[in-house]
Amino acid sequence: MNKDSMKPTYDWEGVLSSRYEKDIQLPPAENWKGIEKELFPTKKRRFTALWIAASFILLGGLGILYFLKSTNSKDEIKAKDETQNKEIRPKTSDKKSTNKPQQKVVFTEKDEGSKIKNRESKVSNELNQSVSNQTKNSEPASSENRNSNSKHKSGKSTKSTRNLSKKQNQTISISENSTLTTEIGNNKNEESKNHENGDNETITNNNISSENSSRSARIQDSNICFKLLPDQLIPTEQSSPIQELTKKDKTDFKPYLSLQVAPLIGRNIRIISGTFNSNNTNSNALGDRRASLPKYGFQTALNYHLNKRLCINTGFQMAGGEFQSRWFFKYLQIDPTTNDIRLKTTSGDASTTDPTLLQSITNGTSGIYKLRINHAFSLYSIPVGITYLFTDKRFAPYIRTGLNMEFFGRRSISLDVLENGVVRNIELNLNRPNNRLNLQAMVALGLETSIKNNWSLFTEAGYYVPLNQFVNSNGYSVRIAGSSILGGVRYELKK
Amino acid sequence: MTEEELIRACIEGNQRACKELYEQNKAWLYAICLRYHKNVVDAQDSLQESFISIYCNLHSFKAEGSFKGWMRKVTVRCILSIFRNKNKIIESDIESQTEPIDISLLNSLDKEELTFLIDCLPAGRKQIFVAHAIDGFSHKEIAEILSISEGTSKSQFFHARRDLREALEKEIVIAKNMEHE
Repeated sequence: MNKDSMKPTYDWEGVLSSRYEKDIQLPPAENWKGIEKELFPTKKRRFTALWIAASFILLGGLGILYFLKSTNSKDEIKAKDETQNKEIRPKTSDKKSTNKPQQKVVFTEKDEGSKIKNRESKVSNELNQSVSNQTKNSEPASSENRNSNSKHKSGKSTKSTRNLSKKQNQTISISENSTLTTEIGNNKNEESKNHENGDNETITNNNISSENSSRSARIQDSNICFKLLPDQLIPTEQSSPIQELTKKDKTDFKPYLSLQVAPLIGRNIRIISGTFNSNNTNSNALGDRRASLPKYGFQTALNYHLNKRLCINTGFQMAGGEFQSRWFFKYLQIDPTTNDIRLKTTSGDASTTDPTLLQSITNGTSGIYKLRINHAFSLYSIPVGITYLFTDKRFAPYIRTGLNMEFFGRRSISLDVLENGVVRNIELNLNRPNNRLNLQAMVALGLETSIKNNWSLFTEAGYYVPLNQFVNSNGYSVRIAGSSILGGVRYELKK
Repeated sequence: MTEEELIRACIEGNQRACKELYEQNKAWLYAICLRYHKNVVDAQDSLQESFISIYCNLHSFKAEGSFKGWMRKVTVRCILSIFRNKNKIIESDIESQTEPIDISLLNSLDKEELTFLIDCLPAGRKQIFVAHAIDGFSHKEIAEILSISEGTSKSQFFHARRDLREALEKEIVIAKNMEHE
C-alpha cells in the first residue's frame, strides 16, 4: 500500500511538494551567456573599446610614419638628383660650349620621337659626307695621319678625332657616346691601314659607308638611351613647370597659426571596476559598472601649421552635463559621530543629514537600498595633439592624435529617494570630491573644407582612452574615457 | 571549493565562481521556473533574472540557513515579481475554506498529468497556488511580493485548490470510464 495514501488528507500540500522536490530540468547552454552579459558587461566592452582605440592610434602612427618616410625619401631623391646633376653638369657645360647641332639633336630626340628617324638619317648623312670628304680631301694630310695612326694603332680616339674635319668633330660630339667616337677613331685607323695596304678608294668608300650605317644604328641606340634617362639627367636649360611650381610652393610656405572654435557633444564614460561591497563603514555602492554621461560644450584650439598637411595643436575644451545613475547600497549607515549618511560615489564622498531619510534608515532593516544619484558636472580639458591631413584637396580628411588632460570643475550630487510612493530629491554635500587629473590618449578622425579665404569648416569624431585611474579607492577604481563629436570653424592667421 | 568559499568568491565578483555556482544550481532552479511558466522562453528569462538577483544579493545571505533554501526563495520572489509587473491580480475577499484535496486523488495521477492540471489554472491563481502549496511560501510573503493583500492571496489559493480538486475528480472519472470501456 502506498504510504502517501495513509497520510491524512490535510497534508496534501506536503505530498504535492514532495512530488516536485527532486525535479530537475536542464536549461539551454546559452542561458549563461545572458547572465554573463548582464553581470560582466564592462570587461568585454572595455576590451573592444581598447582595441578600437589601439587600432586608431596604430593607424595614426602609421600614417604619420608614412608621411615622414615619404618626405624623407623625396628629400633623398632630390639630394641624389642634385648630386647626379652636379656630376653631369660639367659635361653639359661642355656641351653648352658645343655648337648648335648638338643641342638640337638632344632636344629633338627627347621631345619629338616621331622625327627621330629623319634626324638620324640627317646625322648619318652628315657623317657619311664628312667621312667621305675626309677620305677624299685629306689625302695630303693622310700621310701625317698615317704616321700618327701607325704610332697609335690601337690608339686613343681623341688623337685621331683631332685630325678629323670640323664637321666630323661636331657630329661626333653630338652623340656624346665615347663608343661612337672610339669606333670612328678605330675606323679611321682601319682606313689608314687600308691606305697603308694599298687598297683602292672604292673599297675604302664602301667600307666607310657600311661603317657609317652601323654608326647611325649606334646613334639610334644612344638616342634610346636618352629616352630612358630620368628627366633630371637630361640636360635642360629650363626645368619643367611642375618643378617650378613645387619649388615655388616649398619656398613660399611659411608656418602659420590658425584658430578654431567648435561646439561639441559627447560622452564622459566612467569605467568602474572592482567590487563595491567591501565591509567599509561608509555606505558602498553596488551595481552600475559603466556609466556614460552625456556632455555638451565647446572647444577652442590654436593650430600651428608646420606644412600644408601637418600641424600641432593645443586648446581648451569645456563641457558640462548631467546624468542619473541607479545605485544599490549594501549599507546606508548613519555615522554616529557626525549623525549623517555617508556615501561613496564615483564623483567623490558625499553625505546628507536629511532627517526624514535618517529616520527611515533608523526604523528600517538593513538591506539593499535602491537609490538614484543625480550627477551634475562641468569638465575642463586641455588637448595637445598633432593633426595630419591626408590630402591637400578641398575636402581633406584628417587624423588627430595626442594627449588630453581633463579635470572636473563644478560637481553636485543629489539623491532620489522613494518615500511612500513619491520620489523626493535630497541634495548631498560632496565632502571629498575626486579631483585627480585625468589623462587620456586622444584619437580623432575629421574632415575639413575651405570655404573662403582663410576660413574653413571642419568636423571630427574623437575617442579618449584613459591612461590613469581617476579614483583608486579601497575596493574599486574609476577610469574616465570619453568620446566627442564636434563641428566648427577655423580661421588661418596668414596673409 | 566549499559552498562558503564559492559564495565569497562570487561576492568578490569572480566570474569563474559565478559560473560554477550557476552550473551547480541551474537544473533544479530551472525546474522551479518551469513550474510557474507555461512558456519555456519565459522560464529561461526568469532563470536569468533569478541568477542575477542571487548574485546581487549574495552578500545578504546569512550562513544560518540553507543556501539552497535561500536560493529557492530568491528565485520564487523573482518569478513572482516578474509576474506582478506583467499582470494584475484583482483583489478579492477571503472565501470560506473549501475542502482540501484528497491525497488519493493526487496519487492517482503521475507528475506530468498533475503539472498539466496545474498549468490549466488561471495565471494568477496558479502562481499563488504553486508558491504556497509547492514552494512553501506563506500567504503573507506572497502578498508582499505580489503587492496584494494577504486575504487576496488566500482567496486566490482557495479558488485554485477548488479548481484543481474538481479537475482531479473529473480526470479520475474519465480514467475510470475509460477502464470500464
